[in-house]
Amino acid sequence: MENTTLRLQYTKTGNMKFISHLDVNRLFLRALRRAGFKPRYSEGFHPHPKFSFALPLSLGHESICELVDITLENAVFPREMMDRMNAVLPKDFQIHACDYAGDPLKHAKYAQYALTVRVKDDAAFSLMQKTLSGKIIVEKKTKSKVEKTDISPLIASLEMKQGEKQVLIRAKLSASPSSYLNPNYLYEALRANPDLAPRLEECTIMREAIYHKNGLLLSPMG
Amino acid sequence: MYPKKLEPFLTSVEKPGRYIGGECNQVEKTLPIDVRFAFCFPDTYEIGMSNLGLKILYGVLNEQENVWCERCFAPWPDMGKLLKEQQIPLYALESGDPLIAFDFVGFTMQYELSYTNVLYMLDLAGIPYYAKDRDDRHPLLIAGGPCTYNPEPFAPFFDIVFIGEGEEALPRLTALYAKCKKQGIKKEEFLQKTVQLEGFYVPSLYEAAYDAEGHITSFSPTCPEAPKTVKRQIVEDLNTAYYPTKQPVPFIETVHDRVVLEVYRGCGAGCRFCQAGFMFRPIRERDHGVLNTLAQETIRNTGYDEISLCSLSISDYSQLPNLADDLLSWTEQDQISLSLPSLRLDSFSRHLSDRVSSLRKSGLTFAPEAGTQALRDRINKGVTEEDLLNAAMVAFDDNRFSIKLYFMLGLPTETMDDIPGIAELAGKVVDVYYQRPNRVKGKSVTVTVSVACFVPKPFTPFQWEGQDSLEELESKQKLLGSSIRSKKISYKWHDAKISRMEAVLARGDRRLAQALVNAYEAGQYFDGWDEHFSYSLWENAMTDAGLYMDFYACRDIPADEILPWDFIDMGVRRSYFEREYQRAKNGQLTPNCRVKCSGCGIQGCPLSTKEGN
Repeated sequence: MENTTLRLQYTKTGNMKFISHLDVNRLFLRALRRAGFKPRYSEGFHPHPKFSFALPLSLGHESICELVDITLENAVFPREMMDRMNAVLPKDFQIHACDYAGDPLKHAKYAQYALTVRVKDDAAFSLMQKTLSGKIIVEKKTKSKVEKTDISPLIASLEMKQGEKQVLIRAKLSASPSSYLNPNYLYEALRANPDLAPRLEECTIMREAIYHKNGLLLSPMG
Repeated sequence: MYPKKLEPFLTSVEKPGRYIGGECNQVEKTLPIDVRFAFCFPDTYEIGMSNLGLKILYGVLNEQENVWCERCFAPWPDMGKLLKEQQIPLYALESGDPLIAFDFVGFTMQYELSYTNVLYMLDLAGIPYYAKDRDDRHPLLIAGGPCTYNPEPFAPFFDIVFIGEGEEALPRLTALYAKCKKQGIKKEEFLQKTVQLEGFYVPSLYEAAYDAEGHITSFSPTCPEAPKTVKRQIVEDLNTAYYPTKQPVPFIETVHDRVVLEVYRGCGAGCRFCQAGFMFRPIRERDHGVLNTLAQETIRNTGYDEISLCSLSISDYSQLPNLADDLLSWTEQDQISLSLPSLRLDSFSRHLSDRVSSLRKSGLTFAPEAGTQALRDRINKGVTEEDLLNAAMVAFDDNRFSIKLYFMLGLPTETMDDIPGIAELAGKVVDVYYQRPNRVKGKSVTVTVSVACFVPKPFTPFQWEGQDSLEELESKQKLLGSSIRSKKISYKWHDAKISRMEAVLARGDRRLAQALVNAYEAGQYFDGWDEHFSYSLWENAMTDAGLYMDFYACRDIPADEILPWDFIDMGVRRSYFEREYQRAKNGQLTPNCRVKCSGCGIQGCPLSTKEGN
């Protein structure tokens, strides 16, 4: 029988945001076995199943749009794969779309995030607007030093909405390997403002979409 | 599940995956339920979730319809601090409910240096340490596990200590509890009923008296319900015993992240220093067919890709070739790897090594324990230099270039002359490598010599033997270091101070409970982790409790003295240990139980003969 490579889109929310990228890899491997699928193993001295992820997700962030390509040893219908996997995956980690994989999953260009920032008062909103316009200087840690950089060129779009004791930031950030911007830096930038910092309570981050280099939404169908 | 209040802080601690629960095969039940049991492991999640005993008892308890057993592990200090700062009481992973809301809070006592972690967890849970300071509003505290073979140092903290293997006995306790709860029976009366169940020790119903020097002069029950001796409970037939085929599968990587298949219980080797070797008697094997079915079911339910065969001395398993055939008939094509830990080197064979290395090729581990034949005979480690060198040869031919050798320093009857023997033996292993005509050029060999310190343990022939003083142990460690000359030998040794604390706690009596509280309150927990261990804090903790380390660790105890654990009937006779201790001093070997029964007195042993007894 032929190998099948399937592209799965899944959520990682709730409790599951606290497990790391490596844990996700392990989770998939074990879930495949529980569901009775045989992943194809790499050749070589230490054979291991090959999963290909569109874009790793930071520990602590939620997502409704994670993508992975999985190659199985035999032919499987996408719908069957999805149903059998969902039966053995945690409820906060469920596949909601599955299709045969097209081009390799290597072309993520942008990712869109929703940052929900809980604030202490309404004055925070305008301070946040000011902080996140023009140049946005943050401290980026590299292996050897701490560098100040302007992250604004890595932001494709950014909008803000005021809510009840909270501010919603929706931002499309660069996600290509050479210029990946972790959304944590937006919150870091807010916290670096001494007038704003005491007004901030906490921030949750949800990845909402991953985009292709041609600007199209990356999904199992696209 | 975790308390909602914790949510914003969890990303600030190391490995938050330890604290969330929700793993595949976690058991959830609906409340209210008759009995809520929090199974606590006083070490990290990664260590606790590697423990087969936890998975067995979790499964057994949850099989009871009216019981919900949940798990709780010791939070790493960063999380402990956070819980305190945020005033969030320690919670169980399944429901996220605080431990104080449970009927039972059970601790498994796996090693001496985790005792202070029990206090740490009680502190975080807001539960008073001492049983006498708790009342009907508090959960019942119960201890189990290997260290309950001398439960006295922690006995004052617990309402109940269970002695033995819990698979069959624990449901008897929860059934009694459910019945008493319905009848509105109070704690005091419940404990009087509990103590009548075999294997359940209720420390508050016993009293110890001491002479001026601190020796125990009497130890006896204070009420007619409590038996004079507490009888260790065992599972008779492993073929029908519970095995957790549907065990929780961790998200984060644990220490033993695989299916652990318990092939048999017990060990017939009779190494005189080894508590496990006597504690798990009699030998009880699982049939290879049963094991194969259990392995298949567990792999299917968990999705693991590795099976590790577990027992004290796997190569003594009488059906090993059949089991290997059964397993290899499906594991290879399913990309499941097999591993065999704890091989005793006397029965290692090339055949076996070839067959199990299908996927992973690791180094080999041998435990000669002592450097000279005379000393190996005295500790009854029936292994010769020839055995080791043959095994090394086989390993090298099999392209395994790293060999780990385990030894102990400070063994009873050891002299300074025995120490360089360790270096010589390791040197001979290196020589074997370079003398092989067919060796691969350019490949080097590593022989690791890992040296622990002897710790006298209850229910062994060496239970009466004093441990070497710290100075002696440290000078022996130095002597060994200077005896090793080959650059191919790497030398590792355990901190003698940690071994000394282990000896104190292993042979301690109930007065030590105060020292444990003192040590915890001075900041000692996670003692088993070198970076958290402070010997000087322990010294102060002991002194403040009016106790002396030497009294517990270094003293040769006379045979007629009452031992703190004498009230436990563990199955092997005291007279057998006395005889074995004498044989050790005479340098006499005692054969493996599989060769000849030596009459240890254990009931229900398939190898037992009239002659032997």
